[in-house]
Amino acid sequence: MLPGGRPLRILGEVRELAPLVLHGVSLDLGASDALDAHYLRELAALAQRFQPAWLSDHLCWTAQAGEHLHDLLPLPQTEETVRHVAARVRAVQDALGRRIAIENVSSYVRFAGDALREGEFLVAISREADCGILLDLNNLYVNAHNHGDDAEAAVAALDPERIFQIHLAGPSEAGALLVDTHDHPVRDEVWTLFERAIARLGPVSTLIEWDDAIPPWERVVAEAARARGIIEKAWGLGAPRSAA
Amino acid sequence: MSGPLAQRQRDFAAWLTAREAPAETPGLLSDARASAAQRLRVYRDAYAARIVSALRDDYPALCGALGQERFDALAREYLHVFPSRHPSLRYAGARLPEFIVGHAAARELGASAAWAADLARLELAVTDAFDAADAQPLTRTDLGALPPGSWHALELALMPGALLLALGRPVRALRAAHDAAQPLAQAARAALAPLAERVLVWRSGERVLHREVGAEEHALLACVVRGVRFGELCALAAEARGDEAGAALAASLLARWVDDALLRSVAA
Repeated sequence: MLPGGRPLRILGEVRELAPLVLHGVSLDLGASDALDAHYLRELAALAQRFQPAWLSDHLCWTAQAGEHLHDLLPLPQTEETVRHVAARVRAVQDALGRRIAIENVSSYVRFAGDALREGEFLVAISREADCGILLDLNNLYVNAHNHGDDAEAAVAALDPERIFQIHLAGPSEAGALLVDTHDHPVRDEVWTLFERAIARLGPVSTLIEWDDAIPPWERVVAEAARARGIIEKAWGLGAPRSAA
Repeated sequence: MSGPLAQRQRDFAAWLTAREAPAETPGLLSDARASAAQRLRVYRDAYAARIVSALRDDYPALCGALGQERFDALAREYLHVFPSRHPSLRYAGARLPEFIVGHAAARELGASAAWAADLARLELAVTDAFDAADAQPLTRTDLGALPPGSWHALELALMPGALLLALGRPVRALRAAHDAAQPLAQAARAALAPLAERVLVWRSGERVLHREVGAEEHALLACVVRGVRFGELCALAAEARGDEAGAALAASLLARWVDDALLRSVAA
């Protein structure tokens, strides 16, 4: 959401070459601050200009009392949070005039009083808000490692028709914890989870995320080909679909 | 919003941003894999690291001239005084020049503070010009299409993001050295001596440019910043140089500014 210059020019050129999706980090869907009306207006204008196939953001909070922490911070998995986040997602969807997708995030802490498992939490919010889900399988895997969650159970709980896209990535190790850094290859355990998710959820559009330590192009392409191969093995040839 | 969720977020934000790790983190769970403190540390480390890294990108010459260790320490102190107030990391460092000038926490820069503040102002201007709003530049074709006798009414305005800086140290060489991927040390030493430097920063197409401007051009550009017509600019130049030389100066500067894509097209 910049005023002009090279970033917007490149975005426009990309849009002319291919369908575009807008994936944000600052809608602050889980915050206790009021929704940022200015940010929402700018996002609506950006969507109007570039006509993305869909918009998504994260199931987290990022700011408190106007102070932006620039991280995807974890939410207590409670009924209170479900109601709070779902109301905000609905308000965002009303402002944008379209459904959005929310992405499950990696987390490194859990809260006393959490009443819902990760899959239940995601499903409850998506149903109450009637929104889509951007399913990050690496984040499910990271949380399974960090908290002992059951990633497969989370996938099994989801409504297939709500899945806009699947994200894959590779985490880093920080002591005994895994951290979602998008700077390693997709782990074998995540590939296995992907195979099972695709079998259950359908030939879903899939993105492999690299933010840092990006490998040679051939390796990036090889990872993408592996994902496509898994989808085609399960569902036959043809372009992956999205529920958006 | 009030209630348990809001309180949790207030607590968590305070734990994340505090100088020292909190002794107690009520409500965060520990388990056999990691304690609550170890878990919180992932977020505490990432918070500072992410924003400091963004500031390094925004102020590359300042980071290079100070050295990364000093720069990072400065950025961490800055973060305590001016936490980010914008949804985008792009703006997290916008008050660094102000911080260097006005806050005791920056005083450990010592003799470097004066040029560091000026260099930060210059680099902030470069960043702001990079993604400033787009506009149609005034061209020689536009000038050629002006009806005879209407030049005096031509309204002059800078392109969005163009900024005129009056600096107290010759720091442009530092940024120029960075842009040219040259070592910064010599330029850093030169920047220590007080020397007025007037610098113009603007974007031409997608290239951000900066150049030193003389006192006369600076004064006239300052008039353009405030809003001026070409006829008024000629009159101002004439006050300093006389009618004929003043008109010649105004005309030559207009030609240069147009060729630099510094002026935007506005209705006469």
